[in-house]
Amino acid sequence: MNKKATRSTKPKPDPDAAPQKQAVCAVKKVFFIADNLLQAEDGADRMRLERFYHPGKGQPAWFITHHDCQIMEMLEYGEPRRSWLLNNEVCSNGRTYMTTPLDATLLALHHLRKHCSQRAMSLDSISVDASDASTNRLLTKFVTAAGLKCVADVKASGDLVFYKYNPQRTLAWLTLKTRGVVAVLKAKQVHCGLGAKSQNYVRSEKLVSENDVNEMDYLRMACDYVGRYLDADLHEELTRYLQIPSEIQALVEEKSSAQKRKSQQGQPSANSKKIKLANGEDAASQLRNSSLLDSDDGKDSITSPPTPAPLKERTMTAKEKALAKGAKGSKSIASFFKAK
Amino acid sequence: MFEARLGQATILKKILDAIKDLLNEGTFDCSDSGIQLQAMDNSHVSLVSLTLRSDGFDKFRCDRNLSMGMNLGSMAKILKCANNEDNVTMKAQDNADTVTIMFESANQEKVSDYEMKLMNLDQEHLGIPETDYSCVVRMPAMEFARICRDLAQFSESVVICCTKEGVKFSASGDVGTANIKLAQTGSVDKEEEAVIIDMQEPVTLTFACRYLNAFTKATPLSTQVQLSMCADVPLVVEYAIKDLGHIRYYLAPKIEDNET
Repeated sequence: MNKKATRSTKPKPDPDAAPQKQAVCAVKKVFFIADNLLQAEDGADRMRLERFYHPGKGQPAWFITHHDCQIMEMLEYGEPRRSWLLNNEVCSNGRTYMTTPLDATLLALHHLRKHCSQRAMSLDSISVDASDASTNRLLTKFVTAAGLKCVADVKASGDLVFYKYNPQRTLAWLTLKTRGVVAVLKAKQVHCGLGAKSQNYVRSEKLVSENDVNEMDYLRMACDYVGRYLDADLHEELTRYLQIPSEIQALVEEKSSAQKRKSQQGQPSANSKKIKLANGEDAASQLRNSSLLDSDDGKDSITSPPTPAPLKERTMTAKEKALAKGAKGSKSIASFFKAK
Repeated sequence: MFEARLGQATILKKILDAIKDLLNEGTFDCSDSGIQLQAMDNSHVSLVSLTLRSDGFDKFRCDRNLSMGMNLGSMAKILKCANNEDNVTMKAQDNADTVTIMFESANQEKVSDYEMKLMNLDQEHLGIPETDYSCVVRMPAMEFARICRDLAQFSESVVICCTKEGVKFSASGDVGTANIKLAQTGSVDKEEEAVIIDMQEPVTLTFACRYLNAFTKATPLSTQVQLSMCADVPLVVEYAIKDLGHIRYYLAPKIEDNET
């Protein structure tokens, strides 16, 4: 992270306006930009604010390009009721803007899927088909051949290079990306489990070692990160490919498995309670007819005789527990005396 | 109609105290020969067998055989309400679902009766085969209780070793080992203080100490206790109830070479 908090002003609608130009109406914004990018600004290859189609958002979004080779996403962080104080001036726009480098292949993927899923095309012809000039710029300037190789079949004929979208290769490449994000999330100890968790609340060592976040939570989170730069259907495809159950599904499964355990433990007591409710034949049949009971479970509780089970259910006193402990290692008396 | 009357409530109190720790509930089987109760403890390691002969009661009437399933804890609670000198009468109708327990003071000035719900206990009776025991030890009940209490501090299990020299109780645990040897008393002045060993074959058996301690709750019933042992057969701890019957505890031996 060689980023440094730096202040620069940029009139948003006009990307070519020089930062130094202090126009009266200039809107001041706070940016986090890498230092080395700002220094290069004097030369010809300074940063440019451009619009490209963002597959995750499904519409064009702002990106910052540099040297005509690097493309950076512009992230915006806004908090309500926040403003900056800049040189004795209050800047009412309290948002913070950040730039993060982006793999242009992710952006190109949208165009490849759109145009080259059936036939191989050269990048130029894709651009011609596309209505927007930005597509041409994106595909010709920023996308690297190496990157495209990861998501498409490459066919070269003389000087012309044709690309055909390859779904298998793309998913494999996205999986690699996802795994990379998982590694980063783990390294940074980002909580990915269900619910919120305080980062600086130190739990006892024992609990820390006991991993309450499973691999799938990390994978889901990482997949969502990657999916933010993909078309919605491709994101879904990736989720399926990685076999990530949806969060709700995982929650339900976890719950049901927990309940299963509980029900296995407390089955007799649960049944005995049901028996008390189902007092007599009429109540029992009513209960059976109403779909309140699971068919097999219900049948069991209704048909089982109500007498001896509840007696054995009561909790043991300390004395009884001690006696039961003492019985360990002894043979059963019933093995000596047979029932009459 | 069932009716049984005892001159002293204290005997019934002691009987209940002797069994209620081991058994939560039990069935009193009443017939014209008397009252019998047989039940296993929850862990099915020991068996309690109580016999009260009809001729030991002041008054005993049982028209039809009757099984009364009782919660022994509740029964003990009711008996706590009696004074030791009170007369106690148990009454039940044929096929009744309650039993009435009545206490009368010696001068008949105070009469209290308690009705308790009976339970339908589905307990099977076990047939206890006639056994010719290799060793039968008679000793003071107090002494046995003391030995069990002392050895319980050392281990969960007690080894009873009976030879012609005498009977040895031993326990070993983390603290160390404990051995208590009792030799047969030479001259018997008082019968209740005697240790009498009737041995055909030496026997060494291991038992759960907690159970032996539970059995010694019957100590107030009798001055003497009789231990009958035979290899690979449950131990019998018998307390005689004077003029009335006996209470027998059967305890399965521990499996050898097990961790204590």
